[in-house]
Formats: sequence, C-alpha cells, structure tokens
Amino acid sequence: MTLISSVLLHFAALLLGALGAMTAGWSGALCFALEGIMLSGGLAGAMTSHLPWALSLLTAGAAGTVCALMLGLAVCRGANPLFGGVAMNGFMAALSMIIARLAGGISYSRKTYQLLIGGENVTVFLPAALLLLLAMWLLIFHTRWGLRLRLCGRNGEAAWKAGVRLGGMRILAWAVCGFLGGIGGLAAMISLGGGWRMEWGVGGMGYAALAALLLGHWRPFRVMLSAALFALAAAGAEAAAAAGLAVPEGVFRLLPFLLALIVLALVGKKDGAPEETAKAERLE
Amino acid sequence: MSGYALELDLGSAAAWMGRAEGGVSLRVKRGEIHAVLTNSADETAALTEILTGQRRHVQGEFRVDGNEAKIRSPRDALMLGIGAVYRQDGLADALTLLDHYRLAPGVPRGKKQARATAEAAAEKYGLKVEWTIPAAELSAVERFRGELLCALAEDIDILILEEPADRLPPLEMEKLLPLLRRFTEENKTVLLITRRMETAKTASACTDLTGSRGTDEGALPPLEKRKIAAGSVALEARHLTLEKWGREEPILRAVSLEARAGEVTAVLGLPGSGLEALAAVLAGLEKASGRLRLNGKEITTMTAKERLRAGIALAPGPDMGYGLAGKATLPENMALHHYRSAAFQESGFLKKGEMRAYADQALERQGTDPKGDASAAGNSTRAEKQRFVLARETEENPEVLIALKPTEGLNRAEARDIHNRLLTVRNNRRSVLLLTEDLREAMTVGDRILVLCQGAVTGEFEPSWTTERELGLYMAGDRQQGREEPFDEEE
Amino acid sequence: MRKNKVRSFLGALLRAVFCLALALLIGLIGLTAIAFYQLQSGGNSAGLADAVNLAMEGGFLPLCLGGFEAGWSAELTAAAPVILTALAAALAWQAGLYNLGLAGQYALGAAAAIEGAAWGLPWFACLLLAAAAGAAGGVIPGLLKARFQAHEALTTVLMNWICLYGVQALLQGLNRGMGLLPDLGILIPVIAAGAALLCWGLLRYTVPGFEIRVLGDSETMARYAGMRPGKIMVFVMALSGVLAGIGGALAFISGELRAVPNLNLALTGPGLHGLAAAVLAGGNPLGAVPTGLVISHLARGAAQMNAAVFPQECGEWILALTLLLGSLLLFWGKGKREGGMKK
Repeated sequence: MTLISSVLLHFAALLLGALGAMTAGWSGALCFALEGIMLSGGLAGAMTSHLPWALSLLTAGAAGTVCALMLGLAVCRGANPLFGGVAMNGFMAALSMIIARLAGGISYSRKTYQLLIGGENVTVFLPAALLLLLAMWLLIFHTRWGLRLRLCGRNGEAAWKAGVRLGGMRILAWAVCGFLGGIGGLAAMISLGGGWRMEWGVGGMGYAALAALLLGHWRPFRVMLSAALFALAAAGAEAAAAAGLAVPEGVFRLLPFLLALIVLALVGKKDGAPEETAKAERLE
Repeated sequence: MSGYALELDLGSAAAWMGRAEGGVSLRVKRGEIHAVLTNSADETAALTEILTGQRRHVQGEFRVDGNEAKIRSPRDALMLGIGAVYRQDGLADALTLLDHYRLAPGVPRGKKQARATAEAAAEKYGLKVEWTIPAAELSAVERFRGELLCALAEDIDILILEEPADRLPPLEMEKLLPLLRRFTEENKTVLLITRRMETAKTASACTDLTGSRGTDEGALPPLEKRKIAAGSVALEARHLTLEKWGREEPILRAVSLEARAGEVTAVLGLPGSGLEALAAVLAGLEKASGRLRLNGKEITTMTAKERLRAGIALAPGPDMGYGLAGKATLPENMALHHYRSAAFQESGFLKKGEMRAYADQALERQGTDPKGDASAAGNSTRAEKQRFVLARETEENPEVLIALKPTEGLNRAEARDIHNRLLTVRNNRRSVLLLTEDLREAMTVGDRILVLCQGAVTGEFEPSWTTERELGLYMAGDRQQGREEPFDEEE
Repeated sequence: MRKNKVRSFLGALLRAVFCLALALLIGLIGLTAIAFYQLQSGGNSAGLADAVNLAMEGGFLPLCLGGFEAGWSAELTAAAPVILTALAAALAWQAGLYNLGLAGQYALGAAAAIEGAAWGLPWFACLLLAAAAGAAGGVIPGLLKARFQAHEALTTVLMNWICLYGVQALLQGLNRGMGLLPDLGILIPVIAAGAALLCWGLLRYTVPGFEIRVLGDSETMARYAGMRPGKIMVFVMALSGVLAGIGGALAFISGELRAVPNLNLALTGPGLHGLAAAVLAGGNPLGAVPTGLVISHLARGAAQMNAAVFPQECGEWILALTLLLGSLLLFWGKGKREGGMKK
C-alpha cells in the first residue's frame, strides 16, 4: 500500500466516522461510541468482503446501525452517554473478538473495494465518503428535515413543544450515525491493512474522528479538512512505524493521538457544538 | 355538541400539583378570550402542561369540541388544533425566526415563498418582526411576536398563552389584545393562563382557580416598607461591558448604576436582558470591562471572594441553580463562604459540629426554620431554599445585597415573605440591589428602578413618579432616556 | 432523615443487584448461543438442551463461582486493583469530571512499578513511583480542562492510547521487573480498603473533599463559593490518576498482571472493570469496595471457563454489558427529559 492510498483510506474512514457523529450531534445526541460502531461495521464488512463491494458496505453500515441504535435507545431513555459510550466500545471490542475467534479468524480481500479511476487504483471508500459528505451537507443544512434536526440539536425542548418528534428524530440520527460510522469502520479496518490485528480493533480511529469533528466545528466541509489533517498524521505514523526504524514503533503510533490531544486543547470549549450536544458533553 | 371548544375536568387533588382543595373545572366557549387565574407560576405551568399534553398520568377528563381527547404530547395537541406560546422561551438562539416559521406544516417549502407567507401573516396581525437574523439578537418582545406568529402558522383553533405578561411589558400586552380579538373573530379561541389579575381582566371570560386563598392584598402580611432617608452611594458601577464568544451582541453594554445605602435599587428587565450576567459581573463571577467602586473604594480587580469580604453579597434566586450545593448538607451550605476560616476547619478537616451550630444560629436569627439538622440541601422546597440562601447572605450584614430574581416561581405569600426579608436589610440602612423580571415586584419593593434592555440601561425612575406602562416602554427598548425621539416607533 | 438514607441506600443496592443479574442473564443467553454454535459446527447434532447444559457447566457456573476456587485471600488480592481504579473513577465523578483514562493511568502505574523493580527499588518506592506516573496521566487532562476547557472525557480517552503506546515503546515488551518484588500478601487488599476509606473520609470530612463536592454540583457553584475550579479539577484528576496508578502497580505486584500492559487494554480490561464498579456503586467510594469485589470475582471466574468452547473475551463481554446496563439503569429518570415526558 502506497503512502498516498493509505492517506486516502484513512481520510475516508475518519471523514465517514466524523460525518456520522456529526449527524447525531446535530440532533442533540452525543455519540461517544463511535469506536464501537466503527468496529462493528468493520467486522461485519470484513466478514462479507467476498461479496460485491456494495453489499459489503451495506452490511457494514447495517451492523453499525444496530450497534448505534442499541446505545441510542438507551441514551434516549436517560442513559449516561459517556459511560454508555465507553461501555459500548468495550462491548463491541469483546464481541468482535469472540466472533472472530468463533469464525476461526477473519480474512478479507482488499481487492473487493478497489476501483480503477483514471488509471489510478482507488478504493470505493473515497468517492463514497465524498458523496455522503455532500449528501449530509445538503440534508442537514438545506432541507426542512435538516432544519427540524438542527432545532432538536439546538433546543430540544422547544422542538418538542413545536410538535417535532424529538425522540424519533434522535433515534433516526443515531441510525444514520451508525450507518456512516459502520462504513467508516470498514474503511478503517482496510486502512490498517499491513500490521492489523483483531485485538486492535480500529485502533482508536473512532476517537480520532471525534477529535476531527470537534476541530471541524461540527460543520461538514471543515470536518473534511480536519479529517484530512488527521489522516495525514495517522498514515504518516503508520508508515513510519512500519519502516522498521531504530525508534520503537509505539512512539510513532502515539503521535496522531498526541495531535488530537493538542487539537482538543486548542479548540477547548469553542467547538461550536449544537447546544444540546454541548450539554450532553458536559452533562449539565 | 356541547358548544364548548375545550372542557377540562380534573377531579382528584393529586392531579393538580400543589393544590390541596378541590379540583379544576374549565369550560371554554368557542370564539372567546378566556382567562384562567391561578395562584402561582407553578400552577400556571402545570395547567399549561396538562392542556398541551406535556404530562402523563393526569386523571381527569379532557374534551375538545365535545370529543374526548387523549393528548400525550404537544404534537398531539397541535394535531387537535391546540397551539401555545409558553412562558419559557421556545426559540433556538442560532436559528432565525424564518427557520422556526418554516417548521409549521402549512408553510411553503421554498425559502422565498415561506418568507412571503411569513411577512403576509405578520402584516395581517400588524406585527413587525425581523425574520432573517439569529434569534439571539432579537429582543424579548420580538421573540414573543415571532413565537406567536409561528404558533398561528400551525393553523390552530385554540391558542394558549402561558403568562404572556412575564415576557411582555404592559404596552405590548395592550397591543396584543386587538390581535387576539382578530383571532377570535375567526371563531377561534384564546386561553390566557395567568397568575396576574390584570392580565385576567383583559379577557372576555374568566375561570378563577385561586379558590379561598384569593389574590387580594388583605390575606398577605403587610409590606414593611418604612420611609427612611437614603444614605450615601454604596456600590457604583461604571460602563460594565461583557462580551461573550460566539455572540455578536455584547451581553452587557456600558451598564452604569449606583446603589445607595438604605434603598432598594431595582433593576428591571425582560427575560434575556442580561440580569443574570449583571449579577455575575457585580459579584465577580464573570470578568467584564468597566469599573466598580464600593463605598468609594476601587474593587474592580477583586475576585469573588475578596468582594464578598468587602461586603458584596449575592443571593441567586431559586431557579438560578447555584444558591445551594445539592451534594452538601445544609450546615455546610450555610457556612459556604467561610469554610476555609479557622472557625470551620482545622488543618484541612471540616468542623461539622461548629458548622451545624453556626447554621442553627444563623437560621434562627433570620427567623428561618431549619428543617432537619443535616439534610442534604437538595431536599428542600423552592421557598425554603431561597430563605436559606437569603439567611446565609444577610448573616454577615453586607454593605450591598444583590438579590437575583429572588421570587421566581414562588406564590404570593412566599414572595411577600422574601420581600420583607429584603426590606429588613434595607431598613437596617444597607443597600439592596434587586434584579428582577417582575414589574410589579420592582414597583412595590424598589425605591428606585433602573430598566435594563438588551444589556443596556435605558432609564431610571422613582416608582411613585412612573407607571407600569411607562416602564414597559423602556423595558421593550421602545424608549430610552437621553434620546428625544423614540427610536423604534411602530404605529 | 435516617429513614431517607436507608431508603436511598436500599434503592442503590437494589439497582446494582438488578443490573448485575440482568447482565448475567443476558450473558447466559449469549453463552448458550456460543455453545450452540460450537456444538453445531463440531458436527454433533446436539439440541438446545445440550447447549444450555454446556453453557451452564462450561461457561456460566465457572464465571459465577470459579473465582472462589483460589480462596478468599486470592479473591481479595485480585480485587484490590479493581477497587482502586473504581475509586479513581468515583472520585473524579464526585467532582463532576469523567476520568475515562483509567486504563492509561493503570498502565503507567504498572510500567513505573516494573521499571522501579528492574532498578532494584523496594516495593514501597515502586508504589510511589507508580503513584507519580499515574498522577502524571491524570494531571495532563486535568490541566487541559482547567486551562483550555478541553473536554476531559475525550482527552482522557485519548490519553489511554498515548499511555499504552508509550508504555509499549518504553518497555519494548521486556518483562524485566517481573517477579522481582516481594509478595505483599494481605497488605494489598488492606491498601485498597484503606484507600476507599480515605476517599470517603476525604469527601465527607475535609476541606478539599467539600470543594470537590461543591464543584460536582456545578462550576458556577464552585466559583460562587469562592473556590478556584481549575485548581480543584487538577487536584482531583491527579488524585484519580494516583489511585489508578497504584491500582496498576498492585496488579503487577500481586501477579494479576502477567504481561506488560498492551493495547488490548484500551477498550476493555482494567479501565472498563474500574468504571463498571464505580458506576454500579453510584460513585460512592465505600460502595466501590463491594462492587469492585464482585467485578473482579467475575473477571477471575471468566478465566475458568471452558476455553475450548468459549473464547476468552466472553468475560469481558459480560462485564462491558454490566457497565452498559449500569449506565442505563442507574441514570434511569435522572437524565433530562428526552422525548419529552414528565412523570
């Protein structure tokens, strides 16, 4: 895998994950379980990688949706989104290991997802991510449904009193979050190609996507830019770690997370989150 | 057909919160403006919640147009043609009024057509509204107008207004009436749910739910407002300006005020006018530009703690959320400002016994009954909590007592008790700064009234030389002292 | 007053027990499914009854009872790290902070103890070193929160990966210090119990504890009381890190931790166990002792399961389920109105 294709794969994975969490965020729901959602999607997608790519993507999305809905329903019943998210991540990590072991190991082929665009080998994830980016931007910011969604995220009580089905909108947003996150998880799994082991899951990419989302101020195109930044860092770290230098590979692998930490410090409170999501973040 | 647009019977006492005697029986005819008079803001909210389906498990009968109605959410209510404008602001700050308007089902999908429809509706009811700026930058009156138009856009038959006078100054209330009449002329119905007699009087029919308690003055203890001469200036603020990230408009704009000893200086404003921010700035919880002086001494750079020592006490109201810590016991809460002093701690350990004794003494001195010696402060009622807070803040006999919305949500008797406590401080020749949204409260308790509108002081008055109507004009920003011409004339 | 306290205690107990029972029940169903799958793929035409039997005998009973086999002292020793990490989470929670970086701090503590042992330091010096390392892992998110208002939930989670990769790079897979420290025996559970008692006393009877509780109410409340929220945050996070760090060191000393902390811990493992125990205890330091015992008991029981049938992660899976249910049931009705209804 060349560096460029690795960067593009990471970018697609991070962008899809962040888009999913963004959708949930605009409905006022904090999706802290992105890691688990991506993991479930990645697992389901990898297990169906012998099918045509569209089916594999759909399966990944569906698995992510199931995972997101489980947590989403709990959160809508008053569960703590942070503890619940961490629990869901652990739950999916253990479950994916169990499934992988029962299936006697997971093997997948990258070829399924490869497209030939202009003589260049590109996976389907990049065009899919960009298309979905455009679609989500149109949907959330330029339709009436999106307006209702944003009202739920801005002021849930007002939305409810104005006759919007608050719970329904949030559940729907969770489902979309799961679908996008699931596909992103598949991309993440493929991107971690060379040194990938089941125990690593998606290697913290869900949390990196959340950091990208915060850096992108919850706006689609800015999220795209910040996802690109994190993708560069992650792919670079991956390449450096695989290069077999004298420095231990862990040093390189922790760099993207260090970057995310610094970014979070710089962004601070001013991440531009929708009010209800900001409340959920701080649990006010 | 029974001929009623709306019938509500709540039988048991439990169905109706906080109400010991009797049930509720409400019959509203089609085409009338019907007022429901209640005892307190709590009851107003409870009734509104029942009528708009915000409460489950309400035992009673509810009929709309003679048909049994099961309303389980505001959405159901809207489906039945019941819309409402609530006391609590229902707009998202970052969205525009047009955005809110477009949510109504009957409005055309396109932005331009929707705007045309919205403007036509505003024209029809004679309301002037800014449709395309974020709601955060609108005044309280504009927000109300916007919400009203959004509710009307839902194509409703019954309009419920929950305590509109809490959000509108008197003149705006007067302007509202012809609009409501126009609405009822179309054989539609308006329900005014209010605890204020003056609002209820404007309606064509009224249901009185106040029962034996009554709303007249006679049942209450007298207001202890003795005539005393005002002393020197205690607290002087100059050009306080507070800006916040993400908002175009500053929250406070060059606010200057003086609070004299032996006086209650009331600062009056509509919701969102910046009262909370003003209190936080004066007490040192927020940093703002400008200058502050206490008895001639510069205190601008002091922290909250130092200001407290210097003699500025802040008593946040029951809905402000930071008067009492729910995770601490009542004695700990009473000693909140002194927990580090040698009296209450020894080498890092709290002296719980001393705290308890201090709390008991303080509460007894202030005539407040401490309920339960070590109960967590979270278990008390709203009025009790407010009495605890006031007892704590007045215990050290501060130079200036800032009371931030002290009676929000309390009933008349409880509010009168709080008012008398504030007046006791004033009668002891201390200064009281009463920050309130309640016009009546400012008029009765205040010796001087400053009006705050969108973070700026628009006028200063003496209660005996002004009317509620005049104050209302300044609250809404229709007029401002120091300007000859009213700058936002509508007629 | 007393009656109220008894009632709230019983309510908390009931909820925790219900939570555990429900998680175990769902776990049993999952184990049965796994057993059924294994029997089917093994070629036997086994029925559901056989699967249930296998799940009970090979999975569920060892999970629930397997921990008892090694005796009470082993039980207590193994519970100490879990109790300490639970205390770390509970203490931060009392201040309204979310320390989700328990795994990272735990790994830092363990690594520091391993290094210390390799240098030939005595055991208490190793513990101090571990405490310092854990504190460093807690202070960084605390400082970021106090200084830049960075979300501590996210920063602590990111710290997990940073710490785990860092530890991995630092120790390079060497088990240098393994087996060099003496077996502290009964001292290990005593340290955990003492820490729980200290945390409880700290919260209830001391000035910093009072500040923590007031900060836990809200930041405005703390500022209104004349406190400096940032300072308290850093202090709490440091203390939280110290507890988790000592937890990691004790796990290493007691032999619970047999390998250098690795990346598997990022999502499951001690961080999750500590969090689950803290949530079940409702954030109460004294409550963390029994819940920590139960959680560690289950974790040890999981190792006794029939490994040929049940993958080793089944225990983790059930513990994660416990946390998931806990985060739902313990907050039931406490959250804000969602979907709108008031009771």
